[in-house]
Amino acid sequence: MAKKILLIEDMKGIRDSLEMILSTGGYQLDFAANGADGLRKVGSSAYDLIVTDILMPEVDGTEVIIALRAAGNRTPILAISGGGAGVSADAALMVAKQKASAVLAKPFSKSELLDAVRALLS
Amino acid sequence: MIDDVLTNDVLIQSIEHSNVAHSISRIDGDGELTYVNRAFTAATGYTRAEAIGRNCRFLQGPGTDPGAVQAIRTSLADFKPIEIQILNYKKDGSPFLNHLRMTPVFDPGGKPIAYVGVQSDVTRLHEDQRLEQERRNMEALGRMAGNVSHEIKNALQPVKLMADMLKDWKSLSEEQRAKCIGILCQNVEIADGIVRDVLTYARKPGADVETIAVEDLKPEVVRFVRHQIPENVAFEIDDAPMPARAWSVHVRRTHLFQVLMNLVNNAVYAMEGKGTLTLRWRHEAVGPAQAQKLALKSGHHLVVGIRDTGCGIDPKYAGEVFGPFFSTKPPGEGTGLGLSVSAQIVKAWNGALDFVSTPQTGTTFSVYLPIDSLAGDGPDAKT
Repeated sequence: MAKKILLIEDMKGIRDSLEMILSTGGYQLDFAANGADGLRKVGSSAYDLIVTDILMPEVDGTEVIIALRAAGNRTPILAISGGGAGVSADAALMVAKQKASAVLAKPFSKSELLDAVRALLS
Repeated sequence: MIDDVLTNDVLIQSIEHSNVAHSISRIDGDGELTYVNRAFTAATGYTRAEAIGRNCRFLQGPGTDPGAVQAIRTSLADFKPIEIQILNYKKDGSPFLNHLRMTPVFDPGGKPIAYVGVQSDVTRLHEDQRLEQERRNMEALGRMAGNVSHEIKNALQPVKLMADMLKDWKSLSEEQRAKCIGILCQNVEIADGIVRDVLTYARKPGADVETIAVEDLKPEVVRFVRHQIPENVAFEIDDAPMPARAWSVHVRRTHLFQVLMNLVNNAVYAMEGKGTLTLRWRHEAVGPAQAQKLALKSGHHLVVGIRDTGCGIDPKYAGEVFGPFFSTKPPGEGTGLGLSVSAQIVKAWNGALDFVSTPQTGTTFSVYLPIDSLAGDGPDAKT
C-alpha cells in the first residue's frame, strides 16, 4: 500500500513541485490549498503524513497543527516554512512543543524533502 | 475693562515679557523692525540695538528657501497675513526652523500701519517628526524586506526542487520532464515579477511612454488578462465601442500589463480562486467633479476595469488601499506594494486608479487613461 500524504500549501508552484517529487517517489498525494480545507480533509480520510506550510491565508499552519493535536490526531506532521531568516519562529515553536514532528526551511532540496518524509514514515 | 488694559502698559509689558518672540516692522520703507521683544533677542541672539532698524531678512542665510522668502514678500506687498516655516539663522550662524506668522495691523480707518510678527523655533519639533517618519519608514522597509524574502523563497522552492528532479533527467519520462520545466519556468516568472515590483517602487515611473492606438491595445489586454486567470475563474468582457476611431493612449505596455496583473491577482485572491472576473473596456467622459476627485484632467478617458465577484474591500480600509505596504494578506503574502506601485505608474501617465467595492459582492478597480487623438478625429474634434 502506498503511503498517503496530505499536503497543505497555498502556493500552487510548491504544490505542483512537491507532487512531482513525492508521486515519483511512490507516495500517494492529496492536497489542500489552505488550512481550513486541510482540516476538513484530515477529518474525512486517514493520512500517514501531513506536510503543511506555516504562513497561509485564513487558517494558517500553526493553527492547523494546534487543532489537529487538540483533537488527538497523532499523524506525523512536517512543517515547511519560509520565514525571514530560515525557519519561522512559529514553525520552530511547533517543533519545540513537539506538536509538529519536523520542520524544513524553504527553499529545501529534493533529498532533504525525501529524507524527512522517509524518516517520518518509518 | 478692555480699554483699561489697552491704555495701561500691562499690554505692552505682556508682549515684552512673553516667552514667544514678537516683532513689529514698518509697513513702508524697507519694512525695518521697529520693535522686538526679549524672547526675540533670546531666540535669535541679536540684541535689540542690532535688530531694530533692519529688515528681518538679516535672519536669512544660505539654506533659506527662496520660495518661502518670495511668499512672504508677496503677502506683505498685498497686506495679507502669512503663516510659513522658514529656515533662519541666529547671530552665531546656527540655523533654526522658524514658524513665522506675520499679520498686517490696520488703523480704524483701514489703513495698514505695521506688521506684527510672531515666531517660534520649531527645529526640535520638526526634527522629532522627521525622526519619527524615518523610524516608520525603516519599520516598513524591514517589513517589506521580510515579505519580499518570503515571497522569493516561495518562488525559489519549486525552482530548486524541479532543478533537483532534472538532475536525474534520464530517469524521467518525456512528459515528466516537460512538466518539471513548466513548473520551473512559471516560478522563475513569479520571482521576476516580485523583483520587478520592488524595483518599480524604487524607480521613477513615467519614462519611455509609447503612443498606442486604443483599438490595437484592446486585443492585447484581453489576451493578457485571460492568461492571468486560473481555470476555476470565469472570464467575461464588458465593453462598448469607442465613440470615435483613431484614439490613442500614452502608456508603457509592460507597465500597463504589470498594473493589470496586480489587479487581476488581487481580484483572484479576493475570490479565493473561484468566481467571475470581468474585464471592462469603456470610454468615459470625465467631468470636472470627478476629475477633481481622481486628480485627472476632465475629458475623454479610456477606462480599463477589473471586476471581481469576491469578498469586497472593508470600508474601513478604503483610504489605505493605495498606500505603500498596505496588505490584508497574511505576512509573507504580497509585499503590500502592488496597488501602491500601480497607482504610481498610472499617475505618471496623467491617469488615475480608482475602485468601487461592495463587501461580499465584489470590487471593480478602474484604470483611467487620458485619451488623445492619433489623427484630427479625436475627442476634442468630437466635443
